[in-house]
Amino acid sequence: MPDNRTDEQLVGAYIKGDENAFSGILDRYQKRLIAFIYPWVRNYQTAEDIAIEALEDAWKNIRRFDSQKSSFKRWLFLIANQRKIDKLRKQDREIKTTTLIPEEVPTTGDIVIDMQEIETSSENRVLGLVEANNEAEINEIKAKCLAVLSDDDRLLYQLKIERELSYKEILDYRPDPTQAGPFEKSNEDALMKRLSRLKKTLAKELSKYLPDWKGQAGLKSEED
Amino acid sequence: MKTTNNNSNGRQGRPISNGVNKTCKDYEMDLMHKASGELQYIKDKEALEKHLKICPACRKTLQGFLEVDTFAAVTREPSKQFQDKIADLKKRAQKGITCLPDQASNQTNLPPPIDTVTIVGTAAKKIYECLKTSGPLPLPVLRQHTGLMDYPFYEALDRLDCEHKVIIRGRPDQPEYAELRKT
Repeated sequence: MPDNRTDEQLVGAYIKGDENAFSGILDRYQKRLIAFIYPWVRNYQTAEDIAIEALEDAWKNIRRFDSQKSSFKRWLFLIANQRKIDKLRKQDREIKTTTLIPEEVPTTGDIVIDMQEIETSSENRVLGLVEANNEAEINEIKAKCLAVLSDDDRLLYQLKIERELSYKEILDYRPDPTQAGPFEKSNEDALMKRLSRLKKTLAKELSKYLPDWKGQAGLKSEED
Repeated sequence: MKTTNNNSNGRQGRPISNGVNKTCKDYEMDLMHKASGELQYIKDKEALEKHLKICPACRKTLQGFLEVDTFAAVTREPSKQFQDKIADLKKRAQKGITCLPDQASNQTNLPPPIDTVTIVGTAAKKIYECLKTSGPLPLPVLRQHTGLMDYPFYEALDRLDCEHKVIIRGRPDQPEYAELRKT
């Protein structure tokens, strides 16, 4: 059963001795933190590691949380942000050495693009969707998007995107060891092309639910 | 000189670009790999970046791929390892707050997040405003102008860099200049 108390009430109760209150916080924020961190690190496991570190930091420092200074959510996300920045700092960031635009790149059309801007806008739209809908609604959107795919494409989505199998592992994948695998007759190139088509279809479907810069996100947009 | 055959939606037909004959369709898989961070599969990164700079349709395709990947990441079930760690943290938390070290004896463990954020945030604001007023500056000059100590100067600069608000030029181990990123 989800705990309906506010974050601050849960923290207050925990500090006063309700030993289960912090579990409510953990249930509430574990996925949201991963969603917040993932777009920056582009690696799901790293996002999980940072999320758990942030939650542990929050727990260890729970006495220092001051509801007069900020909301618990902001405080927790600031901790996660610090952890995220620490991680990014450790990585060899291309940005420092590759931002110089080579002279031979044409400048006609006055197109000024910023790759980070594209990435950030995509992620903001998805995070906007996640924030505007509860978990059940998000799952419903996911199911509706996946419903437009064929069975084999849905399987490919699960294997490559959710289970992060390599292309070779997907080619060798056999749900039933006595029968040929669904992608056994394919090859890496064909799988990549198929995945690319699949993602384009999903992107088109997903865009129906994503917020525009000012609008509402989620299932409501379908009714409009 | 570059010649392209753009159609009405900005998608390129058969561009002739420095001897490379590639259409947007040819870049689709590279865009997918770029979005999912599988850079090892991209055959010619430089050509892809150049193409992206001139092709709005491919930028839109890239944005779509990024949205799909991010949505997939935020809707998937966390790993068993993560769930085990959460269960372990819950168990430790259920022992109650009394198992936590005293605030006084915990000083070296982690600085109060809100304070650190305030200090670094204030420094970042100073750096940002200084760069806005003066334009690109060598780091020693920037530090002098802002009057900041080593910490929080480099911390704040790093944060602005991570948030794509500034560009730091020079080698990664020897940054030289900083300037505001154009939006």
